[in-house]
Amino acid sequence: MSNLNALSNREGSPGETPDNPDKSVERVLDELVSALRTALGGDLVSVVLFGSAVAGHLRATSDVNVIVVLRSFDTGKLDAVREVFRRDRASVNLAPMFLLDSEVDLAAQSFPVKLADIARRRRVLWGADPFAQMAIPRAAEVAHLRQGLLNLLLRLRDAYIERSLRQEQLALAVAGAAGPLRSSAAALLELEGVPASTPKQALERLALELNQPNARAALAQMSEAREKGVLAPGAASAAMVDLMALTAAMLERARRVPEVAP
Amino acid sequence: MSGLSQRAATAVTAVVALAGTATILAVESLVSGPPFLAIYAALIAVLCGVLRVVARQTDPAEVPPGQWTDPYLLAYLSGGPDLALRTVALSLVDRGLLHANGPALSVAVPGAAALVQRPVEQRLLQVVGAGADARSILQSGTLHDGCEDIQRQLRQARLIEIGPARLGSGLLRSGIAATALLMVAVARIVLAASRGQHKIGYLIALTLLGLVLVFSSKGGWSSLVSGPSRTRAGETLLADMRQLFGTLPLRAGQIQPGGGTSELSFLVALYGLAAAPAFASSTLQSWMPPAHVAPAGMAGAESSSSWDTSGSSSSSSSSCSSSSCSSSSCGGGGGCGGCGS
Repeated sequence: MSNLNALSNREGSPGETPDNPDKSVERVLDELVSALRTALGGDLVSVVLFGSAVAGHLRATSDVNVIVVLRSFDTGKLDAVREVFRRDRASVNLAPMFLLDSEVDLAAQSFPVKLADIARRRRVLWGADPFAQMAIPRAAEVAHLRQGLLNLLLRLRDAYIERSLRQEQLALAVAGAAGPLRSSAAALLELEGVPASTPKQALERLALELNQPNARAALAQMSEAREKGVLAPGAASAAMVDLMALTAAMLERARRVPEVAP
Repeated sequence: MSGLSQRAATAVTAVVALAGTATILAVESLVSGPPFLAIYAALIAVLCGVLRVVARQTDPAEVPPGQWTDPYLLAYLSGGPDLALRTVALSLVDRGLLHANGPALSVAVPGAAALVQRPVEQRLLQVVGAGADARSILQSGTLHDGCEDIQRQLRQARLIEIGPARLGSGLLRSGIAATALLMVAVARIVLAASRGQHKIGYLIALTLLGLVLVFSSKGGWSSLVSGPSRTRAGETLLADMRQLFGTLPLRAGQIQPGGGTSELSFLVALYGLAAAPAFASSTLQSWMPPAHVAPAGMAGAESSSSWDTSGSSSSSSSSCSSSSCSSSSCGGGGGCGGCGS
């Protein structure tokens, strides 16, 4: 037995890279499904993993996106799993979404880009696949893609003005652009009928196709910013400028995507 | 799973003690002087080794099934009541229910105690009331009641054990070993006296040393003064949780203040106060006991402080790492008379 005061600094020292984050995620997901089944019984329709966690190789800062599809949002039953969700948010950065099965089609219309991403990358952890028959209206997806890219462009401009005098802050903004840029790139190529295998590859392919001279270097900086949280002095400003140009080019290309399938 | 029952462990100790005693007494007439003392010292070493092994074998190793979702429970398991109380206080400050102005704590929201669920949170808010000094509150036994709830859960799950609870059989085994040592020593002294030999000073000194060793071994008297201890199951659970939360320290910079998530509580509970993100550092700094704000030249004195069971950020330059505080006599950390005692 060990005295509680004799806590080893080595054992508990922060900053150590965990042996296998993916393994922890799998374990958390197993326990989550089990807890949900026990607590919700027949109210649980399915549990679906989506986003980058589907492919594994998560970064420490990656979200683990999960959709819990329910027949009804019964707080009397869900109260029993609140602590589990709070713990899992802390342990593996679990980001849950609670959706009723009756809301799937409405969600596809309201968040078509998000749902299209889910349609591309998902793993059903338990239950029936609620997205197998989902129909995403093309016109809505095109409109939301344009809206999303314009919104991202505006946010990047704002971040540049507000943070480029503080390089470390701007590096975080560069890192934060990765998610929306990649999912937008994947959606754009899919709408054009030439989908890429992953959102990251979609963005890399678009960067080449759009003839943005510095885009590849900017994407490399973006990955580094995600990995390390910091960039070399001056690099964040240059990367942000190039990402804005890439986003604008993607938006221009998205404007040419027909709203009706060719 | 425990390798031995308490009864079997006691039987093993008795057999070894008896065999050792018989062996030494059988060869007593053949050896004298330093060789005898060497054999006697070997018996002491063997008995201490056996006591240590059987204490470990009777220690539960299996973590009971369950969802370990309470950061305060993990904080207690990790750093005792000292860390648990600071985790609670930090969480309440982060949530905006407690106001920290330097070392002064006050309840920030009227009726805050009714807004929290855990007994230890309610107790802390009640004790703080209109205002209190964080250092005195967090180090005193005032919050005993609140922590007892956590301690009880850990004991029921056999993740920790408290001195008196484990003393009985451990003390019996130490007693058997001590009896064996005394029997050999007394027999040797009587036989030596009958032979007209009177140089027994070394034997008496060695016997006294042996008695101290067997009673201070695991499960002996040390159990009474060492405070709460993690069982092997507790060690296993803690290691398991640190593995599960392995990416949390890497995300510390992303934790948002406000208590929307339990990330801050789990981070501090499992990795110590030093792991807290920047927004919480100033609050923690002001909760340091006086020893920690002493001039740098006095850093050595801090090593005896029990505060830093969790590796406080402010002591990064001192020698008081969490491991260096292990010699503290406070089982529960800063509050020697606190929750854990």
